[in-house]
Amino acid sequence: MSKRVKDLDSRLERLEGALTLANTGTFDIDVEVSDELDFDDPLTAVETGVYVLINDMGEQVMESRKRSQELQDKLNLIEKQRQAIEELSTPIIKIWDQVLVLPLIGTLDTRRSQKLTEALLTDISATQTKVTIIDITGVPNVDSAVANHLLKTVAAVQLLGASCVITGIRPEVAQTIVHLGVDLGGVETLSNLAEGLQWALNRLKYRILKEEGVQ
Amino acid sequence: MIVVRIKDVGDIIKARSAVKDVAEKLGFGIVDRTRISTAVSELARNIYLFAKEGDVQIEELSNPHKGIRITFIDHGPGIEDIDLALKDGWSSSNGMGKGLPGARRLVDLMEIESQPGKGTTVIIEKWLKG
Ligand SMILES: Nc1ncnc2c1ncn2[C@@H]1O[C@H](COP(=O)(O)OP(=O)(O)OP(=O)(O)O)[C@@H](O)[C@H]1O
Ligand SMILES: [Mg+2]
Repeated sequence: MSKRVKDLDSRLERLEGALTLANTGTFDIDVEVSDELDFDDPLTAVETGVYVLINDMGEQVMESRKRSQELQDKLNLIEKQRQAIEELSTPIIKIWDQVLVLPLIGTLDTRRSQKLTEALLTDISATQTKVTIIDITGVPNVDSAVANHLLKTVAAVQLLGASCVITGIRPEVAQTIVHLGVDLGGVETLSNLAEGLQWALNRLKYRILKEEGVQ
Repeated sequence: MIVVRIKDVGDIIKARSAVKDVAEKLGFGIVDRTRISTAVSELARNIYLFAKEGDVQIEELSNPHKGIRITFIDHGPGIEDIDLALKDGWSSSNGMGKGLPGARRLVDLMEIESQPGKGTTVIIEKWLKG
């Protein structure tokens, strides 16, 4: 007995349409497979399989879109908090007569870097600062843009007649800078802020003496 | 796979923190994490600067290397001469020209595919050793 295939052309067309749509990312098919499932009809099994598969794919795609949206929302929130923290934490500290410290914390994008440099330069000329210490202990990443910015800041500080030292380059950051091929050779660097302060005081001809014989 | 869209400057940092997260979970140490995220910084910034927008895809690798693969896709202007772009110090935008060559030194594998007028795809991989 040969099996019957009803409405072959229109059903094939529908299948093809559904597959084409799925291929372009549209999974909401609305097909009633047939009014009553006729399992004698060999095409029915194929139709059912394809439509179920497309439906499943649709659900999976929805699920993964939802998850990627959630991730995006999370990243947005983190970014907002980061910005808020950074706005709050950009102090320029006068730690000694004629000595300023700029302790950089967090990520430096171009806009923030520019703001910080402007503030620093203004302070330097207002306070007749002679030595500036830029401490980057709190900067987790120095890429070429940040390095470029640091170099420009140092140059601008020097143009104002002050000397400048960068302190607190973390070991992993130092390695990365070397790999990047950025040359900080012309810039004074010291391992930590304490050394920076000593350097600054030296430049200003101060000497720190420990008093003898005092309890 | 995690996808981070790059549309503005802040997205560069988002891509970087997403990558750091995955790298840490995979067991990369602080030095490698810093290398990977610095490379991501460079390549995501290139998308932002030259193509305006694009995607950063982050995937875990298991075979033949365990590690992380990050793919940067944009439909921007493309790179005319890839060899030139990879030269230390060459920049079309008075940058330092350290981004592409530097990123390449920071990872275990980097592939660039680019068609002028069509866009650029950069793939990088960092492998867990030992
Ligand atoms: N996604 C991209 N689309 C189009 N052109 C690109 C892309 N990425 C890099 N380029 C081209 O390759 C050049 C070199 O890139 P590279 O990142 O090394 O340097 P840069 O971005 O100009 O400077 P730096 O990264 O040091 O700040 C760029 O100047 C640009 O012309
Ligand atoms: Mg670049």
